[in-house]
Amino acid sequence: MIRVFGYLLAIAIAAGLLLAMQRSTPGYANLTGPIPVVGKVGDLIETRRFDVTLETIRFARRLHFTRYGRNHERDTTGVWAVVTAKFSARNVSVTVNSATWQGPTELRYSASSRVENAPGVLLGRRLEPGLSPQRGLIIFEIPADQVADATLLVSETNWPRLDSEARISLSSPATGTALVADMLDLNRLADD
Amino acid sequence: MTIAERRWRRLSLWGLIVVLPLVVAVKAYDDAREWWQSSELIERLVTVGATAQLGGADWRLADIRLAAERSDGSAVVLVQLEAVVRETGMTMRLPCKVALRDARGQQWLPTFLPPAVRSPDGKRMTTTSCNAAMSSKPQPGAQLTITESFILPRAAFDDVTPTISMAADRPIFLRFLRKR
Repeated sequence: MIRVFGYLLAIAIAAGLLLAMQRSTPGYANLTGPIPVVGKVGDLIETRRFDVTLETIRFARRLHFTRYGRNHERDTTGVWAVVTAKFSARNVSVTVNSATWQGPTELRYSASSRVENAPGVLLGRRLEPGLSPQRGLIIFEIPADQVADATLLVSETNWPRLDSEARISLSSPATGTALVADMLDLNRLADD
Repeated sequence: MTIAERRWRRLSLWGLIVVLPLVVAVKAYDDAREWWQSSELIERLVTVGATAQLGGADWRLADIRLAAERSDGSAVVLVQLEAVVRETGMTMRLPCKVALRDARGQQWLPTFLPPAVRSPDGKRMTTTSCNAAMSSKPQPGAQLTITESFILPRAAFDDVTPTISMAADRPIFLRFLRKR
């Protein structure tokens, strides 16, 4: 009787352990997901194939730029976040195609396509090893409540699989105290 | 526990030493094979002026020249390779990868080149990239001239050597030595 009880107890413990292991095992997407490289504004962040340094972040309600001789203006019901950054290739030619603004509630915003023709836009530029870092702009259109405690995610592709993803902490103040300019001139920023 | 049961238990435990690595090998085989076939690991040196066989064609480095120098210290380099096709089905071996490599392991990949350019000596030259040439389904005996352009630091130009690999033939790749 005691022996039977012992067997049942052993089976129950084994089943419990197996269940705990199964529930705690990360999913396939997480196991093969991005490999984070963490840093903050101003740090030189070294990923597998490129380096990135964030310099400044500015916010504005409207953006102005000139392209092919024409003036363009973009407004928003949220806020424009204009990030100035430098990219450089490490050992092989590379193109950084993905930058995502992750807000405090983990909502994600891709770089805006409304200004992809603006001067100085950095994403999609070819980087060659041994050449000087390329400096430019990454621009996001985000709700005002996504400004504070955000993280910038930069990688070669969207949703990198077993590849580096730079995760840069953006220490920006809460909306109420953030300096939000009425207008930013992207041509002037690109020339700086 | 009887002697027979103890023997089976011991055999089973020792058997794990064989079975566990076997399971890892079987599960990882496909991924390992994919990695092996997508990497450039086995180098075949091609001496100056010589031809070498790769992917159903005979390859030769025809020219590597500095096309332009820029004020930021970068340079545009043109590489020309000649290939004589020996087998059919070249398209099946795509994509091909032409690169410039230096001794430090840095690697430059081709940039976009328009179909016709002016060479540094002023002549108009048509250009065909490696993938475009192979996609045209060349027949055995066809002679192809492949031109690729690269942007790299001017200081690196003297040390780089062109390499080429084709997907179906990796991990083997050719490295062409240059005239010094």
